Amino acid sequence: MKAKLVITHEADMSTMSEELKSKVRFAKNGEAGKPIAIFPAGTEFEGDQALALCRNGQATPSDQECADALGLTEAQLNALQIGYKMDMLGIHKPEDRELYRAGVISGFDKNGRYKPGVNWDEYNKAKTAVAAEEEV
Amino acid sequence: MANKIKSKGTALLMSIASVYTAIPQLKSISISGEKSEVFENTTLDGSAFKTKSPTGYVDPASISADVFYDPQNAVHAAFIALIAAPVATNFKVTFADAGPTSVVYSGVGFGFDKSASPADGLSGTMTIETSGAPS
Repeated sequence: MKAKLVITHEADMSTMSEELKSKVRFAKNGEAGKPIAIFPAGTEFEGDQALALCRNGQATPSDQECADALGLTEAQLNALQIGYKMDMLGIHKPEDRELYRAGVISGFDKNGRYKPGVNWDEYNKAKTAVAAEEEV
Repeated sequence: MANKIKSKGTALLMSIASVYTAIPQLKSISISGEKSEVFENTTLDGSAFKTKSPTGYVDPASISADVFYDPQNAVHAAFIALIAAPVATNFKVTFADAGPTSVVYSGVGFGFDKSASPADGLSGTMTIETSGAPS
């Protein structure tokens, strides 16, 4: 039973097996640049770990056994993974999560402001139009 | 120069299968109770003010995190499973500063209170008793 991470994750070096250690890489962390241990997107996990990571929305099955054990449709798995990405990006408020799902925002910048998503312009055009109608 | 750091974007991550996994739908987090222990060393021939000295030990922190609780969510379920079958588990708190600064706590005691009220979404409060020094 195998699954691959869909996004890069920080690794907990204190608890892992020797086999997992070989999959760890190191990357610069934020502006401070202190290297941290990571599992890059695409890292493959096996067994119960693979299934647990899929159930959290962190990984996607890479064999049929894992897909069968997970028992989710593609749409359900996508929704789970999008939910998990929002958690990783610190998008916790329900209204912000709706904006992320709709592609209006892609997260927050370092000042806590919205980072525009693919539908940012469309959303703001519609918002302006609604505000103008309400004024009339 | 000290900066005012926003709370927005602060994350609490739980080690699951050695992968730091974000706790979903976090509303707030509080880390409290970490303090050095002292003992009273006032003596009968001492001054009016009682005196204290450090024992050299430190009370570790407790973490309390409020979340919008989703009974179907696997990460919430994984946390709740620790209550009945506690296993020392690492939790990482990542702040939203430029670093960003992260602190890892070893969680050894776990609790989860649930609440439903008309004025709020279904909510839960996770409590994590930590052990030893954060790293």
